[in-house]
Amino acid sequence: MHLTLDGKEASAEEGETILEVASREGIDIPRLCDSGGRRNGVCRLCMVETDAGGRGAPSCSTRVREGMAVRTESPHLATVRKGILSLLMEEHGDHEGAHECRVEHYAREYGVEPAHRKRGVRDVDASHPAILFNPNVCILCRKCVIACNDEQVHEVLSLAGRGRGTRISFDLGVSLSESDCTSCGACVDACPTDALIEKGWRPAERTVITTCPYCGVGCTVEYGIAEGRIVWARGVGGNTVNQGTLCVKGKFAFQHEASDDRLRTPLIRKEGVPKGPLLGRKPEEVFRKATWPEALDRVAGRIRVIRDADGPAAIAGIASDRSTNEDIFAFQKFMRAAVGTDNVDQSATLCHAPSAAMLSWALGAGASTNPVRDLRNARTILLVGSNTERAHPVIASYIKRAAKRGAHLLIVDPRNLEIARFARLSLNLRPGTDVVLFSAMAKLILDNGWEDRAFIEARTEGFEAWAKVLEPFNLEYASGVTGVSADDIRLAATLYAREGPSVILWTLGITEHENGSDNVSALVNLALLTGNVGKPGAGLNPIRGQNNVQGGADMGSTPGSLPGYQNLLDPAIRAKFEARWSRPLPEAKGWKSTEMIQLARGGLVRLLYISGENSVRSHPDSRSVAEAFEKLDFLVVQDLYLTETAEYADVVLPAASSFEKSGTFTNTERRVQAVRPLFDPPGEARADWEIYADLAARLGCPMEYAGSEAILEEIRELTPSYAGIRPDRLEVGGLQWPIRAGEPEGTAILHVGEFVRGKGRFRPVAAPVRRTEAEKAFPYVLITGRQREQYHTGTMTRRSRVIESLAPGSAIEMNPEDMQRGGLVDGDRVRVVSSQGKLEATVGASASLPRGVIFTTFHYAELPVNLLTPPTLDPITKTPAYKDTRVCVEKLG
Amino acid sequence: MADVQGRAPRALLEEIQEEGGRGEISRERIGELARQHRTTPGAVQSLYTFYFPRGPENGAQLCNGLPCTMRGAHAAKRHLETSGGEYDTVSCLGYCARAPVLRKDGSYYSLGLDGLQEIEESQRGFVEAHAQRLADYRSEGGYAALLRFLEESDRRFLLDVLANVSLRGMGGAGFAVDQKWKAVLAGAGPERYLVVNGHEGEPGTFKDRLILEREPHRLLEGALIAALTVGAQTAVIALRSEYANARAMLEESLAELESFEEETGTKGSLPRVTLMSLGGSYVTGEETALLEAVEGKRSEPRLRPPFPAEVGLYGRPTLVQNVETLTLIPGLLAAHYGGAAPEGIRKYYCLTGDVPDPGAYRERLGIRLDALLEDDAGSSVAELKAFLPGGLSSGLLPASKADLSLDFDLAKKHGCGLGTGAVIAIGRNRCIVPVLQTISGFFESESCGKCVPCRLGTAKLAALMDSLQEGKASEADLEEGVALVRLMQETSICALGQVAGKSFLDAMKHLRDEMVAHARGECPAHTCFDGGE
Repeated sequence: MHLTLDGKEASAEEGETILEVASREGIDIPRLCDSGGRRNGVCRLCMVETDAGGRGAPSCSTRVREGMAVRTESPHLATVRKGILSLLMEEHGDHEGAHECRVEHYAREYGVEPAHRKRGVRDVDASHPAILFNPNVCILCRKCVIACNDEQVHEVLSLAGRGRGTRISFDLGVSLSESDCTSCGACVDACPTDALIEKGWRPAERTVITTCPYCGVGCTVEYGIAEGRIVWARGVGGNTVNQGTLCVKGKFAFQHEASDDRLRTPLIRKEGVPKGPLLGRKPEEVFRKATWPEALDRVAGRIRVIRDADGPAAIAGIASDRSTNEDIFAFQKFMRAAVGTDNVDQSATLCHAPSAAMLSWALGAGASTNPVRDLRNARTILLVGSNTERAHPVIASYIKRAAKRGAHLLIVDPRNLEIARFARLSLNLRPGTDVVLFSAMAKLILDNGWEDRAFIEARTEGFEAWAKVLEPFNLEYASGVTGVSADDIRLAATLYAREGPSVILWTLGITEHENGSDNVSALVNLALLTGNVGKPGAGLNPIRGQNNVQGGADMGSTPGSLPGYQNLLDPAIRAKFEARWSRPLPEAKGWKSTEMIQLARGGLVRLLYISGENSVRSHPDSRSVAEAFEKLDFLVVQDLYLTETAEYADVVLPAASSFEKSGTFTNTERRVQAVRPLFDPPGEARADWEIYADLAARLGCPMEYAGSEAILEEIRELTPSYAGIRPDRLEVGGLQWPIRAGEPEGTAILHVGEFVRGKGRFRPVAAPVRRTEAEKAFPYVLITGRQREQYHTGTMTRRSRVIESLAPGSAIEMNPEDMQRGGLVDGDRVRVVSSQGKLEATVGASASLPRGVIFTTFHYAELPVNLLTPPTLDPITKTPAYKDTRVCVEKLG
Repeated sequence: MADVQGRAPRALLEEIQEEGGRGEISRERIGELARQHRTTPGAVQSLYTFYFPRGPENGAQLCNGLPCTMRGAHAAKRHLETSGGEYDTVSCLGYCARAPVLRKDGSYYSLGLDGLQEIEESQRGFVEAHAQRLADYRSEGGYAALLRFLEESDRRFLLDVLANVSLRGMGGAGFAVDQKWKAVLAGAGPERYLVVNGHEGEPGTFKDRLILEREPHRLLEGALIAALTVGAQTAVIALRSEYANARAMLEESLAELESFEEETGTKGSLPRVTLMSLGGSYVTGEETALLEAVEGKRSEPRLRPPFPAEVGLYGRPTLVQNVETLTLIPGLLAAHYGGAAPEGIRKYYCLTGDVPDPGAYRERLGIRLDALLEDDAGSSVAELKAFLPGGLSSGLLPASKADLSLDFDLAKKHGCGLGTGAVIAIGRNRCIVPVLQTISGFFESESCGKCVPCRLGTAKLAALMDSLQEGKASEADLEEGVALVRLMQETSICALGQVAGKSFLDAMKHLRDEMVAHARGECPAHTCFDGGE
């Protein structure tokens, strides 16, 4: 439709508001409470005149009509706006520190005196380490309440009272730090007056938009920079996965970049200092600074010596999934072409390798099928083994918004999670019984004839063989094994099958088991059975952990898999890469990271090159990892800091962080996104790819690139699923692969019409065998996981001042009844013992845990929980069973 | 119906209303309620503090409505203070004809010279004795029109019947009833609601309470006919929580209706009628705020458009209609079936203020004010200075206009609406300023606080009236007040903010000399400033 805005012709869509159209036309109507697509309309500043008469109409909530004539400026409107601003300014108290107050801004513009007539000065809430709340400048525009309740769905902020007594309240009127605030900062970003503001906020000299360095969600963040430091972060809206929101890490955990203990020069272990950790020594007692040429010569030299003596298979490397696609591509090229080994891996082996492997086996692509944004189209959401609110808060908000709109949320997890408040059903199964639960759901669906026959016949194979093995999984049996009532299993199966489209989301609660791959297959089978793949609102979505773990696998940092999942063992493919790289490539598949460490312990792997993985803390059975590192001939660690793993190194190489280089990350939904530098690297630190290229040259395999763009060019050339990437299309929001040549739009939903591999494959899976002997000796199951604020072994988050005050430590969490039976109270010290080791910790009650299950995180060096986890691996992907360690708990004197 | 899977927010609000009315809801209890209803304690608190912003009521509640303050509520306050009893002031208790009114332990008292006297018509026994029963109602021909209407295949003819008599809403806004029903019929989707607005709360207005207590069956028949016409499967009668007697009568009547349905074999073919008692402020009676309350939320007005007819309760097309309007429907339909020429509409006029015989009088629509004053209230125009023709929100007219007809053309002809038809008479010896002070105080305390102009503007206006009353305002302040009221009229979300300053504006127009004198510290009525000095 057409209308005129201040005399200018404009076109608009039915249902748009005047404000939306005016903003698009570049007219900035004064406003304070505008909450984007959510109706708010309380400030009444955005009044405009329409042809309906001289009376102003709020442009934020007035929809356009055909032929409408709108005036956004007039003497009358100026009077009205001045009137509103005068009322607000009479209320307005003093700010604390630097701020950008829009009320004051407009007051100046409309000539309203800043008459600070403060009525009833209220206390400023400075209790939170990163957020300041000054109620005296709050204008009750409600944007923060909308951000907290409707956008993020944390539901911490609310309006209390009525009329003149209305106020913003945190929970039951407690201080911000005492509240359940998750510190996502959405309220801060929403606030027009800086009543809610970052502590110590200051204006930025410049800003850079890039991709968050934390989890696999891949939020787009705008960083404000002043005096060479990040001073604030904000979520970027529009075509981004986060649509303007962030979590505590994206918003506040950026101080690690400027940490004083960043590595600035290469380090070489001093002569005569035996291998092993610092054990309280200062770094300079163990390491000496070295120049790049010396350090690189040392590394290249050792590679040559060991390769000559024991062959390239004695050398192995683990890439960092926090680095860019370009870095990881360069890494695997360096290892395969320059070193000559296929012993290359990435962190997926420790987390989602079973998801990638089984999705790839069944469907032809080892990645999430549907975009995060597509959750809004789902009628049923099956969330399995995922504490999404903690590990992926931004995706959790999508789930909660969907549930609030009426989607059925079904949760499968041993723990009673916070998000269960939004769920139709929470199935708290016994740890490790997933296959039984999902097979029983499948059998029930089949018995009732709810399967999608047409889909099964047209698009799948292996159905009959699979259906046969379902026979024993009747409800009684399943209920007995899983501990979930038959009614709940029935309802879950009914909703999943009958109330579609249904999507399955999962994280490591599924994969980090001895039978992680089988667990994944059980989920894939359910989706194939009901036709819930290859369409909007459905899908199979493993939510990835690290920012670029998807990219790491895409770039071929996995044994046997060249970039784009091209099979190294396929002679034609190998020939293509050999021709491009002018070097022979290994002909045998290499080892996974967990295997590399076992082989190092056995003396078969003699040189290990670890980029940005804190393996001694993150791999299972830490004692044997340490033993392996001590046994190695040579350990190279490339990182931002001298991590616990770097302490074992012979050479430590200083790497640039993702705030200091360009490239791309690929997020959990296959979205390739731009990474842009904010700063130069500190000291002599360099981007990973530059280091690999220099080493390769020393090994006689030139890898010369003018910059990361040149590597992307090579990736496009060799990787069909990345072939169509046009760097200019990566501006904001990125593109989802496959982005084939000539298809620059990418692919939002995989497997539409046809599976990538042709037909979808059912995979029969059996229930795991229970180890009853172990259960007797070790009555508790230990599950490890995440806190919202921390990230993995804490290398980045524990160097963030804000995070350290928000999440200062960890305890062993335990069911209150179990504690009572064991004579334990909160704060008691306990010894936790497993077959692998023991550690001492503080215990605390958690009602979210069922009897017989204890929980802790692996973030803290003070609680190195992987001393306990056994090296029990999934037979297919060699992924450790972190979620299923048998332990006993002893009270300490 | 719930906005979140498994949540029932309406049930939560009803529990809060119930428990909050009995006493303080502790923090522990808030936590329990949150768990029980799968929400957060903050969300429970948000509701509790909206509906009970001053916490639990203690001791006695003294009505601070204009009819009560005019009749000595201030004196009553002094009486209560000297006698040492704890009390709160409330905005309106709904017994304006017995002003000043006090509530204590759920009973209502009129405060006279000889102390407290329980108001007979507030007693359950009295109400029971005067309430219409099913048998009585049927013997007068009640429900006959409904039974016949049920047989109709196309019920839209009723819209023409209503249009022919130009039936307008009696809740204050005076919108054409047939137009509203037509809009609901045009709404999308099969699911529709009727919400009966029984949240009467404007001082001087108590007609709906009388109807609810005395003619519950006529209301039910009207509601059922309306629901059938617009295709609403469910009707919710939303009542002020103070109207406990009305609720009891409706509950009894609904039980009787059930037996009537069984007897007439209409079970299952009539829309379902439910009751909901709601506290909250005067603004809860605003139709969109009422919908929010019925959905179990803070009762704050919505932005319009869309109007409730299009997007109403739970987002469905909804007819929101006042109690009195609906009670007129059965008679109009019966007259149509009887082939009689349409009779004139009779409505309630509540007369309070400076009249000897305050009360609610049912008269033909359009009666002249002077006739009403003289015939019903035992007063005369000569005793009058000014009057509010339709409650606090309608504005103020001078005595010279007392020959006008109290009909829906009032607004057009005289700039003041008929509102609820609650006439408040202001005697010739009364100073206008304390009247305006009470009115502005009422709107300040009843504002929900959602939009800036109303939240801050009502408070600023009330402060101005306080200064005026004390003789501490300048003429420039008064002019600033006029500009403020115009701003509130233009920019407030709902009628509350739009009308809050209407009486002040009218006083500046019709009684300007008195206002200006008062600003200077002179009270022409010699009632302020210690005898007028």
